[in-house]
Amino acid sequence: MQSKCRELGVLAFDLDGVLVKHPSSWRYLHEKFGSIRIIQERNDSEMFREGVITYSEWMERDLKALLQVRNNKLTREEIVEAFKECELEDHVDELVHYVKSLGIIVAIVSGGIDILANMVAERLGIELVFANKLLFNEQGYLIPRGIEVVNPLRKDTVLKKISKITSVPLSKFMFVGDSDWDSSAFKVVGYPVLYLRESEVTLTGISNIYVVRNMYELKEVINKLCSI
Amino acid sequence: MKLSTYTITRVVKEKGGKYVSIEVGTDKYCTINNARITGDFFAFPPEVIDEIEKYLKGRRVTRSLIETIMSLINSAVLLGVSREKFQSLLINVLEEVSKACKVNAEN
Repeated sequence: MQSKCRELGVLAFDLDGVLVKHPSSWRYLHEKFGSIRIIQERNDSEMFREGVITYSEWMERDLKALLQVRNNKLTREEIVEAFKECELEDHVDELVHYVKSLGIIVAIVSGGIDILANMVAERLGIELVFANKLLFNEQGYLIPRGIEVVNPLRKDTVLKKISKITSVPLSKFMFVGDSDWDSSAFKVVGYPVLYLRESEVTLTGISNIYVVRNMYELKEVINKLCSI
Repeated sequence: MKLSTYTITRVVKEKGGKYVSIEVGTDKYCTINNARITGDFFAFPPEVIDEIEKYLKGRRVTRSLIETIMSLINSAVLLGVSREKFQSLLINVLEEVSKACKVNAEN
């Protein structure tokens, strides 16, 4: 189905803090399984930002912390069960349904965890999902290694990939993110949108960003762009 | 000297839910070439926001520029955001963008 909106062909969402209320699916798991103290004592996010560790290494460190408190026994089912309590953002189902009715392609581009991204995608009917994969051994237990699909500082590369797959130019992309981790995505799309959840967000190198605080305001921005 | 420009956008949500977004950009000579103040707060007279944006463009961040901007803000009534918050937010963004531009120019 071709988009009924001339200005907009793809709407890509960040997952954590936008489609779901919790700001981080990684942190969510640490809170659920009791490894939060281990990761709080480290400064992995800064080490990653400064290039001291790679994203794969950061994932590995997070996974090792989870396994440490679970004596190396954590199954996919337990993770799925934990994520079932992760709350969707208010009115997001209506918004996604509405956007899809306009023929706009909806995608998730998340530095979070694929299990949650796929659960949310299934619930909302989103077909394009890019998030980092957890791996399990033959017995079904989580292993301390994941597959990096979305480097949180390089979401732009995933958006370029989606542009290729869908044949929609980035100028007709909207990306909705909630923090400076989304800066690389904001920079390459035609319509960057900050989903303001935190009390203060600072972005560098980004002009003309839309600011919304809920899904109703996002719908208004979309309607304005599409002249509805 | 690198030829890039610098833009800083700071968005602040007030306790009542209102927000203010301030975007300031400079060219390679650290002259402001972009100033955009948006949000769902109210300013009386409303033209004062336009005046601030226009005044900033084409100028460098100096003490006298900040003083002029502060007096423009002092002449207005703001609802939804406190005057002090608005002033400190704008000063912070102006100083930050100016500092970032100068650091890069020195490199």
